[in-house]
Amino acid sequence: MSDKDDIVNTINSFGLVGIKKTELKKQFMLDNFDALLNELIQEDKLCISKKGTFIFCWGKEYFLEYLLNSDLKFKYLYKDISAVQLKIDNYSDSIFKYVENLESELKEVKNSFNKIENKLNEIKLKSEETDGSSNSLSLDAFKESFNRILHENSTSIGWVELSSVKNEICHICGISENEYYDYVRSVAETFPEKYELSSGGYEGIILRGIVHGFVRCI
Amino acid sequence: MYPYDLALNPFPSSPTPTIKISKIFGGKRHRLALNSIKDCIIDMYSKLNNDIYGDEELFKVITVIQDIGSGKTHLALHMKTLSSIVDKAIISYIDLVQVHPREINNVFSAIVKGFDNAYFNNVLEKLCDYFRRSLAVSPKLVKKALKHGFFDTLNGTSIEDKLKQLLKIKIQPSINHLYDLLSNDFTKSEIQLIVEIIKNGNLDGFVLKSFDDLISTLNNLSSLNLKFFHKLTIFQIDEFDANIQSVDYVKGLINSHIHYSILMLITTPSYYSDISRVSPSLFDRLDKANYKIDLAGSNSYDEINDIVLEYVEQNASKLADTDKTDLSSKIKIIYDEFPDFRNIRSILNILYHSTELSSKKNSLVIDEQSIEDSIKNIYPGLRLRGSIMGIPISDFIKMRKMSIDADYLSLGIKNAVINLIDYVEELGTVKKSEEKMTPEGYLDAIYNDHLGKKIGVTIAIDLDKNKNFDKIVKSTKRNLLIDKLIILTTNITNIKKNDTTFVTVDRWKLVDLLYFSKKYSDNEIKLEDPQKAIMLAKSIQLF
Repeated sequence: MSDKDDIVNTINSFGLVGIKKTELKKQFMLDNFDALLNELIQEDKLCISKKGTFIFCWGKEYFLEYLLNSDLKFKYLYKDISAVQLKIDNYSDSIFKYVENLESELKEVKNSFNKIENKLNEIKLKSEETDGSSNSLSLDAFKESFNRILHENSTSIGWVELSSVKNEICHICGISENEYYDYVRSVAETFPEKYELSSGGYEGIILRGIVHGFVRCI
Repeated sequence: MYPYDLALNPFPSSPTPTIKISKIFGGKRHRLALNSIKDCIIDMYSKLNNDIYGDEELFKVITVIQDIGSGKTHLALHMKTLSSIVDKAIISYIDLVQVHPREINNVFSAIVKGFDNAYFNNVLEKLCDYFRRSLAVSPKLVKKALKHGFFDTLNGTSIEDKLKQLLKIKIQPSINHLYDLLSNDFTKSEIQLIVEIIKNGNLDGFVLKSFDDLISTLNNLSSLNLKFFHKLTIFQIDEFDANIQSVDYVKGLINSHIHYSILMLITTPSYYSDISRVSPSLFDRLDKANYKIDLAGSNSYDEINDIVLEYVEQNASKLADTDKTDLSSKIKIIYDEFPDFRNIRSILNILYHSTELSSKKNSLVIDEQSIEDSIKNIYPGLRLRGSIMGIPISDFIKMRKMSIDADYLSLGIKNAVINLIDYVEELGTVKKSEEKMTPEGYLDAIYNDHLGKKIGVTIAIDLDKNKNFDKIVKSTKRNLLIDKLIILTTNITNIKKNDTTFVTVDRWKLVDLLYFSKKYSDNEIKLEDPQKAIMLAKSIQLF
């Protein structure tokens, strides 16, 4: 056992009463007694305090008991603080539980969010696939069918009424009437050197506020 | 002073052409059409003195069928300004829209007024020449016809004086003697027309009772033109529609084969289609017209550009090549970006106003701002189709011009995307990166999206990158730098790869990005811009 342990044991053996510092010093005739005592104080193993006119030493645990027995004010203050401590502990427990719940709920939300994201991605992929199938008709494919039908239906001067070939092209290309005119607009705008539109007719493409219902390949 | 050193605005301001304007004639396809008509005239003219051909064979039908505003009327009127045609034919231009109601006399009146103002005076002059020629052969008959008597000789009034009076409609000749004099060379009906012209100086008061009268009168007129001028007669009927009376008249005119004449019918494909329903028999006749003038491609860029340059060159002492290029590039942009203006009438209208506005600003060229202001004034409801940022037309034109340079475009778009990411970060739409991330290799920009994923953006609008999508993807994935890659490309692509999004950027988006970038860099972002910027970012799938 070291000197420090001996000192601590000796002090603790005095319990609530504690031991005078001078007596302790006498028991341990050491050169570095004061330094060892300071180290023990810093290590929180003992307490030193005045009792009457003498300086006493207590073990840490006994010192609190000594104070509670000897100092009434401290006793009540300690009780109050302990009550507060208890309450805080209780609250912190419930807060901890609340945080725990919150954390689990957040996890659930996160999981749900991930599921939603996955679903959205699935839907997006599906819609892309669907779009791909409905828009599988490229402009070039439409142009090819369009040219053929125009060629078959054109008058000697080449003009064809858009509405007159609408049904046939919609049927061949599997597109709606609106899509048909969108495609016609696109090919005419994209290839102005190959198609000419002319005003008139009851339906067609609106340019400058005028219905252009005739077309021909140049 | 007008742009390009022009003394006046060369572009027409009237909604329909006039004779004066129609002197200028441009466009390869229009010239080809004109040449076809000339061929028809030359062919018929060469047959006038050939007895092999009967009178009825000397009749042709020409059809000009094209959309409104494509230059049909201009072509018809231009014919009147060409000596090569006027030397061989007398032209009557009739705008059928102005003939209401479509009664026989109204139609005839329109035909008569369709000749030049000097036409009847020319007829009288030719008649005087006839009198002069006849004086040597039948002096007595000429004197009697002109009522040149004893007192005229006493007063010193010569035959020439009488002819001058005749030209001024100051004397009425002796009808009976006139008939006797002219009967050797003219029919009774023709003489009747001549008498009417001598009496009134025109045929305005000539009353027709039936359609037969109309046909025979037109035949007589045509015959007179041949006999007096040795010319063909061209009846140009513009705005020919499917009105039942018009259809009947034209059908009758074709059936009657008016001698030594050309019937030129000008209409639209729409009316042509209507005619096929209203009168299949006329449609069949038109379908077999001798000359079908095809103005196919009359609204093409090349044609429009050629016509516009013709207007400028005809009025400019010298048009520099740089000015030509500048003007053509602006026409090209208007043509490409505004399909609504893809016809010559619309483009000329815009250029007329743009030239006026540029002149007021003393601009040496037709500037973009003037074009924008003109378009706004003429078509106030017009918007750029497909533009998210609501870019002004003038800025659009400028940026489209600049974006022709591929290097400029590539760098501009890269900066624009970086600016756009910075801006949407400021708006809090995407998370600002905590660490400074420097784009590496093929990456042009990196940011964190709202889920914390690291997104990389590559601009692949230059040719090399466009061809190397795989290389881009492999390079960026190998570095494990990012969670997702966005490739902005001008190509239309169907490539699908995990964690890689291909976004096709069309020309409107390119210009939108450049426009946004300019505003952002110049601190000119306005109140309404954040929403537009977010839409723009969404449109290129930044989030």
